[in-house]
Amino acid sequence: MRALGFVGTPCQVQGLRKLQALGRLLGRRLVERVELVVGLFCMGNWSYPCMAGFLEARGVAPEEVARMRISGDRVRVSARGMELEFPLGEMRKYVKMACRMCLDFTSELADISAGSTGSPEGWTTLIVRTPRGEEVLHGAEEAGLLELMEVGEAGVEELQRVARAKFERSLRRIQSRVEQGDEVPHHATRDLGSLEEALSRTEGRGFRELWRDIVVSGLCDACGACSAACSELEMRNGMPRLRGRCPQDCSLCYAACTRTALPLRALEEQLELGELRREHLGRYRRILAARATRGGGQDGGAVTALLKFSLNSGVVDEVVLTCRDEELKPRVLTAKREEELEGCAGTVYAASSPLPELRHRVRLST
Amino acid sequence: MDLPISGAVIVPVPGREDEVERNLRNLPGVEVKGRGTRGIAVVMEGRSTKELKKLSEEIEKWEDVVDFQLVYLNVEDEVE
Repeated sequence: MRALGFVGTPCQVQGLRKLQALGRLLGRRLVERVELVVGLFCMGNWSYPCMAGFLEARGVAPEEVARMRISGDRVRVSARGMELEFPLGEMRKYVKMACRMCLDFTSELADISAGSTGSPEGWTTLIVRTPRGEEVLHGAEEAGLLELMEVGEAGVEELQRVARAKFERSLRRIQSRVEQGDEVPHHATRDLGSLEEALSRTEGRGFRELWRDIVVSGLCDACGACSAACSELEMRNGMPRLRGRCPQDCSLCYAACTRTALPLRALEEQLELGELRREHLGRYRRILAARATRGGGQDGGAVTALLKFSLNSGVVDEVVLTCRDEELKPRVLTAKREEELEGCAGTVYAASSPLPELRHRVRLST
Repeated sequence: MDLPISGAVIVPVPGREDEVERNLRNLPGVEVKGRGTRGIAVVMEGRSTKELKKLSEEIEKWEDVVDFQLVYLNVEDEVE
């Protein structure tokens, strides 16, 4: 049985953790043997068709883009040897609606979270949360792949400031929807004490209800947990679609979805998270800055270095992650070699659905 | 205030494309962007997500529609 690693955004990590908990609860094999979860800092993802349309309207075809980065409040695009720059605000309306109601900036349920916020340029901020996160970080440093330094209180405060800004903005939107009579279950269920309690709210609801309550309501974050749980579903254009028949009396898709119920506290209890806690950063063991001693990667390349160590040391045999294709479209990839990881370095700005692929790899590996 | 906006591809029953397109054009908040072999591309806007959801559900129920493929669902802030 092969061990898997996973790299994803906060919503994808939540989806994975809920699937793991659901599998344990139901005695079903869903995504077991995921031995390392690296979560990315995330302010939200664009819908791919909108992002592509935005670039095309400015004379840049997505396939011409060599590099795209967000730096402060500017979007910087390198294409055809030219450097283009747009205010980030112009692209705000292309962020998925679901992302605008996400409360997690730092992937609070990951083994180790990573992103540029809080560290000097060229370094990656790492939030080490679990013993597995510690093990991999320590190993990568010992192997000479990573250089570490303290982030310092100013860096942590900066991280917390950004996380709080996302939280408060999303909370305002959630409250506004609730005032209009809409349900936002992932917020309403955050403090539930158990997954069973959360699932009692989803009983008897299948894909038809998932489509109505979550997808058409703009709550679907496209993580693909529903499709990972049920083989009758597939993700198309970042939306779940029924390709077969909805099994009678089955509510697995609805139960797996993090937007139908997300008992965050109960999911936290299933992980060996550190005892330190800061509001909007979740629980952790330590926060530090890291950069790769060699090789490529973005903002210090620490994630790539951690994954290289994990592959080479046998912590994992393969890693499921998202990279971008030649048209900037997100593409889920399973990397087994260092070169594949290096080819995947860098941010993907459009939402992807990696959990069905993760489930597929789990099936293949058993 | 949120101004939700979504894009979808509506797949009509073969032979009913003209009628579906005509009906779509008559719906307030719906703009037909184009028609091709994969269906009719529309952009839908509403004053609230509830309104947009209702609109989507209405189109899905049409007898002449085989499939309603939601492509994106975003939200524009009038005031942030």
